[in-house]
Amino acid sequence: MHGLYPFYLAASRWVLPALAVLVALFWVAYFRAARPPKRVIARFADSQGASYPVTVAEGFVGRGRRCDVALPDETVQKAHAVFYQKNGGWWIASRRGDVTVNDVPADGPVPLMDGDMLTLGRTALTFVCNDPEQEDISSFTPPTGALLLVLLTLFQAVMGGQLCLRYWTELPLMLPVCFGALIAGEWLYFLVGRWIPHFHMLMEIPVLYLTTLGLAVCACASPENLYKQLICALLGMAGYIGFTLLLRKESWCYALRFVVAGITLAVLLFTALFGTRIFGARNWLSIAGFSLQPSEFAKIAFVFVGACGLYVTTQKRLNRWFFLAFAAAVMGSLVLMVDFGAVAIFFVALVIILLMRLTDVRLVGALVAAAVVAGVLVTVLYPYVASRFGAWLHVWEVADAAGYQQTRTLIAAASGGLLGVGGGNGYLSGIAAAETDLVFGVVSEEWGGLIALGAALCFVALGVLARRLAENTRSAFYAIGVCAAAGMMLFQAALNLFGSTDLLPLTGVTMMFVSRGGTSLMAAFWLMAYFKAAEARPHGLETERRRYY
Amino acid sequence: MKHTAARSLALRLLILFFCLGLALYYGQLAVRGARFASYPTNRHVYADGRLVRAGAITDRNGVVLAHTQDGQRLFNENAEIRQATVHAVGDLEGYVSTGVHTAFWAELTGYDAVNGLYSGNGAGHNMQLTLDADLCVTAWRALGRRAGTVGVFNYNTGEILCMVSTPTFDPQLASADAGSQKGVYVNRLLSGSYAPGSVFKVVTALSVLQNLPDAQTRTFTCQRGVTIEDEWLSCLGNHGTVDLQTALVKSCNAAFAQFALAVGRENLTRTAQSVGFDRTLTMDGIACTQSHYEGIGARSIDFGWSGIGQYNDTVNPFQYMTFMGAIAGGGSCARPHLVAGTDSLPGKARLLANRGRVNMMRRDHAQVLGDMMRKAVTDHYGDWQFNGLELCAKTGTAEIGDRDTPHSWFVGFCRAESKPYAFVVVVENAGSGLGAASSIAARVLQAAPSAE
Repeated sequence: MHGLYPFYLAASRWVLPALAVLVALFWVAYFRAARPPKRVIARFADSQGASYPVTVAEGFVGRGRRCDVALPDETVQKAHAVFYQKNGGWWIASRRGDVTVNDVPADGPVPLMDGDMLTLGRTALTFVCNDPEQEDISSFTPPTGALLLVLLTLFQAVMGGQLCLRYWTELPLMLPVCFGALIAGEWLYFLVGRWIPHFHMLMEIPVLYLTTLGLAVCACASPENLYKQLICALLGMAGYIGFTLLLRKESWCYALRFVVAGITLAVLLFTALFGTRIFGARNWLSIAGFSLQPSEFAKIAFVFVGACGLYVTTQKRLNRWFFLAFAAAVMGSLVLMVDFGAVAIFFVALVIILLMRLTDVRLVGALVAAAVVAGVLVTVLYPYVASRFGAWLHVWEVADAAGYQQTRTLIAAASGGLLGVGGGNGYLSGIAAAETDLVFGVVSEEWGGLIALGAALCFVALGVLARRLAENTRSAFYAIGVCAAAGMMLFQAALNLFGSTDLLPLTGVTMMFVSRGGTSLMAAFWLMAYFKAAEARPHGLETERRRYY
Repeated sequence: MKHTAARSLALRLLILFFCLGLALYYGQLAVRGARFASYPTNRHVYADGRLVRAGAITDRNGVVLAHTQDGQRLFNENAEIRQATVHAVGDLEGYVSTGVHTAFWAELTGYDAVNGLYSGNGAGHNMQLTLDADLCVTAWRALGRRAGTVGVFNYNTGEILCMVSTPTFDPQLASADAGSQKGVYVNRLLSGSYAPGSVFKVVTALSVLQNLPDAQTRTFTCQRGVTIEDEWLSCLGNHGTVDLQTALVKSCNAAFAQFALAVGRENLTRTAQSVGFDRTLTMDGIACTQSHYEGIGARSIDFGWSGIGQYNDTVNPFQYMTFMGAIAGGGSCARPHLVAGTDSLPGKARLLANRGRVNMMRRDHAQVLGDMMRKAVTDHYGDWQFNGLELCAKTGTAEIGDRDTPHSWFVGFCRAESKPYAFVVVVENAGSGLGAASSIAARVLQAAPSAE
């Protein structure tokens, strides 16, 4: 410990939350400023002279209020037909009602040319592909978020500084290296990213905030793993960039979905049968000295297959059943691993994906009902799950038995107050699984309730961002991908946060980016590719621009 | 994509529930944070389940009652002081829930919702009590092996000088080991609840003054008791015809039962409530047990008994001590308090919020009551025991069933300017109030320091 530490701590425990609050406020302002403008890329015109602009590359036409092209005609169905860009042209396909193109009934997807005449119900429309009066939105440059990144860097530097002084003698080199590498990595990413049109840091800021907290927790709770954590973060960033590039090739993804599904299932089954059991769940795989959790990567594959399986807007029945079968197999192998927290997370993703694409609410209802029955069965068949549920909501009565982890988390969170006692000065990190399952308590105790609240709000921010991206992205593939990814992260964060604080039963899942664990960190970064891929091509502008305009 | 995005309803619900959960969690932390943090496994302030990191507690003269040294919590080195003050100071394991260690846990350790248990110097905040440690020891010795309580406070300033409850234990040792003695962790002054016996006659007398125009001239007859609706209410003596003052001096049951009937159930209940019955009184924010009076709905004979402190009456000693202070102070007195000062900022706010005066009756009624209690001492109890105190007092012998010896009560106050103290003494199963309780009161009041 350095002699200046007490003074630095006394000051920085006020400065850090203040910076966190500033980052949050600026992020909100940034989020509002970076809203992409609507751009008219085609239009439908009716015989009365009314014009319906098309601002999305895939959308619905119908009577419904939420249709991208909403027609005031009682004879038109709510979600009558769907139009989309594909392979260099526009297509239309009927969904709930009949469509004729140039007086020929459309049976299946039909290409749409400039000037084509359509009939939906009693409405006659002319399709105008290339709108000459469109404004040029390539002049729109969202704010880059440099100021936000500067604030975040300050936050990281102050936090790293506090830890450096705290562990002046114990970890003289490791801490400056790790925080320095993280800061260098994010600035490199930012400076390179600025060359990409429409680049912004909306998604990256919360992720980096969480990663920083993860590094800080790891530095205090298990410094021997700090380099590993850092390397996994950097590997995660690299993997995230690569995966984003792949996701941008929609047709490649569609082609790859069977391969991805097959490999995922094979690895999961292998783990379920031959994996290592740590803390009750058999979900670890050890290969050549490295141990990893395949179920973490399965989350990425699950979203991938889910979004692909419902990729073509006029989905085939086969695709739906393929995805449902895949989901059942994935969750089945997770049950074999006795990893029920993960099953719940996958189930939430499943519901989000199905609800976004299927009109069949009964199927989703049946699935939820089945899940409830399965949940009851699990508590009957697995006594340790039942005992965890047993302590739920009265942990203080069993504070030294089944409620041990929750009560210790609450004690720690209360001891930290809003400002915290300083990194490495808490006691929660000494108990088993603190830096994974109880990480919210560790952050609350050492860095304070405000910074911990900031971490929780990061997940909210990602959820809100996902909804905006889904609204503006090019196709259902990205919309589903980003919502499912965000839903998974948010639900997992909820299980972690509320499980360890006794608002939900404790399930022992990690908090993405913050909990220690290489696989989980890498997988979390890769999952962010769904965000970047969705935002990289608003209105299909990027790659297909030259061909269309 | 509007259509598809709108269907991400599940995600929207998830965001909503997550935010609700966050609000619930932080709300709970704000309300119950201090309770969470004071759980005895919290190593920020506890070691082996005993509080270690807290400020020093001193008495009014600066005598250290508890402090932390080299990571150890030490009480006063004198075992008598430790035992005499344990219920006020509290133990380290939270057994004495009204003790300062528990009731002022946050102020002592420096906990607050913003800073948590962070402490720049690794210490808590100090606290000075109004207690006089030596006086507590005197009271503790006077109580001896009997269970009971002694409370003395300055009715001009509100400072509690003596707060002793027996049986007691040594807080330097493990609290759990003391558990074999019945009620050893209970501070009987704040949390006790006893049948009052004749000390309740002061309440009845006040009600008579408030409600009967001829209060001081009306007389009743006592013939070793009185018949009320064909049932016999016995008295300890044959007092003949007595007025209010004589009835109080001689503690005549028959007369007071008839006074109660003359006043009526509603009026007596209202008077009882105005002096603190059926209300939760607090001392520095620490809630005391309620005194209880139940006259309405009682049969006449029971109502008669209730007017002389039997039937279902129960009294909390702290409430009665405050009542005595109010009589002494001419109808009102400073609220009794235990903590003189602290260097904790939230602590200062808490003390400020709990200061002030309690107003219980009109000044002239207080004067008359005081005069009658003074006369009881000079004419009946013997002023020689209470030299120089100008004592005004009332005894009580609370019947608690046929087999048990009654509880012995002695309550009152001094009119001497140098000793502006109101007091309450209860000795369990010690028989007549004039005896056990009054002699303890005499010893303690004689030993009490003169007020500046």
